[in-house]
Amino acid sequence: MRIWKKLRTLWRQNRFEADLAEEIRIHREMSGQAAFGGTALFLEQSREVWGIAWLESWKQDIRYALRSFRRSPGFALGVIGAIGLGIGLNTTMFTVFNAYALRPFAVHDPYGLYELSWYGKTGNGHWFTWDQFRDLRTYKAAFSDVMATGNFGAQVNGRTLLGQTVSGNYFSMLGVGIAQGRPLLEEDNGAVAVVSYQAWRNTFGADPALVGRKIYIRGTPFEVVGIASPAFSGMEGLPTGFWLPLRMSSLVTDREDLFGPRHPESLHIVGRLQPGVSPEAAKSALLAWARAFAPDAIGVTLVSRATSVPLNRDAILTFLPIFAAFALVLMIACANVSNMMLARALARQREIAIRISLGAGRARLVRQLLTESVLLALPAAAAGFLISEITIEGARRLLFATVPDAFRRVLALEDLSPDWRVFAFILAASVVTAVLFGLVPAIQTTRSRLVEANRGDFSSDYRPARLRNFLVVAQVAVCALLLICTAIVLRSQARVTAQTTGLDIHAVWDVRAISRYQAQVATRLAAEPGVEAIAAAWRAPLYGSSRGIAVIPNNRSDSVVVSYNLVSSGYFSVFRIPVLRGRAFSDAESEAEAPVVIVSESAARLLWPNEDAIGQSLGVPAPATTPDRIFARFPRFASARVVGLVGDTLSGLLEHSDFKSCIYFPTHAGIPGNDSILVRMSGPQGATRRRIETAMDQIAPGLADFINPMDDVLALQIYPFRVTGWVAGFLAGVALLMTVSGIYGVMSYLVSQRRKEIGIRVALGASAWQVVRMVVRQSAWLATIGAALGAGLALAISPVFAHQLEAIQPYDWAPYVATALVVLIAAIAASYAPARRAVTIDPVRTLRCD
Amino acid sequence: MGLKKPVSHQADFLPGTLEMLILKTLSRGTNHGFGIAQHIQQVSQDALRIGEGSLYPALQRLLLNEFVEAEWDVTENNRRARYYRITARGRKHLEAEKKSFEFVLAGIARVMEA
Repeated sequence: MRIWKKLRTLWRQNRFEADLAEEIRIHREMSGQAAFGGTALFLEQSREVWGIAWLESWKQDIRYALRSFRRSPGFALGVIGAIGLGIGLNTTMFTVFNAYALRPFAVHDPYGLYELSWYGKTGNGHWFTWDQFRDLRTYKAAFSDVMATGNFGAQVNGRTLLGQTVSGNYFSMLGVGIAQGRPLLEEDNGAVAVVSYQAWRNTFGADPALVGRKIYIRGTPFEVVGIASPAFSGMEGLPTGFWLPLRMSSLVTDREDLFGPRHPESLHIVGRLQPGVSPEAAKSALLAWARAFAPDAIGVTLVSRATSVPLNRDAILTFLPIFAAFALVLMIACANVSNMMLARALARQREIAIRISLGAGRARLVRQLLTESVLLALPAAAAGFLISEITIEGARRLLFATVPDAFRRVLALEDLSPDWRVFAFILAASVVTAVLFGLVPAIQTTRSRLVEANRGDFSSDYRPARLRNFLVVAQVAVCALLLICTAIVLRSQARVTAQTTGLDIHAVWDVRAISRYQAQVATRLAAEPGVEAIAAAWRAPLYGSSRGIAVIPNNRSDSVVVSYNLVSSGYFSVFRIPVLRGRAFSDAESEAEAPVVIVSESAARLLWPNEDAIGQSLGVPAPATTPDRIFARFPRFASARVVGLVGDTLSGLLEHSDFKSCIYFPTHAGIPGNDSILVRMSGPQGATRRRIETAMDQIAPGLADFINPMDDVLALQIYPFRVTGWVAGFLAGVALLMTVSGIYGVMSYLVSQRRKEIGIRVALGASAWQVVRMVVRQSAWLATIGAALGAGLALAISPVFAHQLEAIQPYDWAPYVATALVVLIAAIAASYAPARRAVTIDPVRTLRCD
Repeated sequence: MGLKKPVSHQADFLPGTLEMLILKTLSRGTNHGFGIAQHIQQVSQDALRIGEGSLYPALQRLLLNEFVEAEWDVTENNRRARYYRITARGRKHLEAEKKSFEFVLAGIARVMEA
């Protein structure tokens, strides 16, 4: 109410003041007083009663600021551009962070959802069996409701989609709506599927008659009964394409039958916390529950499933360096603008001095300067939003254009449209930057003392120079830090790319299908024309780090860890790995998984340093705990005879270049647990892929999960380095550009301020070269300090990166030296033009003016 | 131009006393600013002289709190003046102020006599 009255008074301010002035005039008339003095003081005091004095002065400030921008539009545009770019890049980053870690899933009460697992003394996490899940549904101490899920990938209609087998209560528990048809229900045990809205649009071309139709998933037909609501695309990091009943697991996955006699622990359980129960209390209740069937359980973990990436310590540690890099660019922009404002404010020193001597308070002046920076920050925020939209779209296109061909079909991003969190971020960022770039100059320039200021003497205060130097040094340091990071990433990429794998991967295809069809696929493909060699393998090479196994050679008692794989007899000819001595597996050995082993050259040297490896026997101790079948497959014999010696290969991550000691055990297509069929097949890529796909569709429609050329698999390993290099390079480029323009601005300003001094020097006989050197030396000096600081910073933070990414080798002299050179050259180049201008100063004219 | 702290308008009064006196005056009938000042001066037998500098800001405070209303009108001798009228809210406030004033006054008296 009061606020409203105040605003109304402000609105009709002229009327208010006229009334009051009239009233006071009448009062004086009545009292017979002579009209001594003005009415200004009363007006001022009455305005204060209404609390509009400050609003009034805001109005003045804003009007004044706008007028000054109109006078120097270049300055205003420069500030808006620099800050807008900084805010825009940060908003891009925040939008991604928001989509993965902040925005909750479109489900009922997402913050009550937790994924459960338990662990024993070995620390290995355990999932759950069907019986345990059924039991947990009746155990209401911690969760009011629980659901069980399992993930797998499948190619449907030519696109690879993430599929989920889910318990019947999945849709009702999450409260997810349905766009067409019906959700999956408790009584659904048959071959039915619900398709996600996105998959319906992208994979099935928004077919209006999809509900009721049959789709083939890994060779099995399923009837589509519904299409999920557009807002919901699953609760995994990747959008889910379709959901099937849990009962269908054994048809579409290689996992052991959930309902079979072996009770596999393969269910992921997500529960909704009972209202009023804290996660800690739930944990202890669930541990008690888990102890009933697993006495060795020592703890349970609950991971929030409100967002794609749970916002915990790990997630924050991963995002932090990225955020820091982006924030640094914004800091550079701020420093730049700060310097521009400082230069401008110093040029306005005389105006400020006049205002101080007329009685303006310092707080009032600071406020006026801050008003100016806020007025610049708001359009900068708008520009930043625009820039972020452009960069997101550009980055998305770049990503889809450059990702290795085979993986473009898998690539799916979270929805990256801005929401209220993004807008709140932009607003907060712009206000913080306004204060950052406005406050320092404002405080600095209002420091001048009255007497000196009125004398026109502004040079007695050396602090602005110190502050300016500090800002330039900070800019250069940040720029150097980003350049060093870029160079390190690029060097790592070059090193990784230069690795030779020992595998001839060109024209080799990795074909994935559910294991009960693998034997048929292998036979069918072997008959295709143009197929040179074909093999089955537990793990195709180059997909990730290779697995290690502890083995005991016959001449020692302790075990040695080497990397291993299970492959069929054709593996060595598919990848053209030379058989140096002995022989490859025979078909019979492959089919029987016979107790024989083939070792690579360096494995042989490691296991039998001074002996011939052929004919030796190798002990394979059984692992202490029953291994998870998805992650480890062990041979079924305790000892194997070495039959062959082959060339070294690098089949895991390229960065583990020293891990070339590999041993091979025999296996065969059709034995459960193998991932891949590997085919060497000549011909153009597109046509070959179609031939493989057609051949497989003839066995069962939709059988291929994916068909990847091994070239693309290798390219995918290098791809993250390329992307990191691009992002770091882009940021470093922006930083360099801003730093150069910052140095240019500061040096120009300094030269114009030192006109008189330079004029005197020239008059006294200083040569052009000496003047140039004087200006350039100052900027080079600042750049040197900045570069040294940046290098120090890089050295200080590099252990963190080296710890997170083994491929990054931060202690590499080349990036540091290269960066120092680039920064120095940039600083000299930036100060060259101002230096030239200094040379053209005519001593006669400068000495005469003033 | 400076951002000053609100000036204390009635250094000689307890805070709020001037507003109370104005409300009391208006409770006898509507009046204009000069009339209010005259009335207080007469009744207090020249003990309390209210200057314009404190009267008008006080009236603005009362307006803002809706304790009084103001309207332009014509005086007996045909001059324009702004008349103030006490509102129901104002009367309630006056009662409350009167009580607390008496309470404080009694307290002061006790201290002075002790």
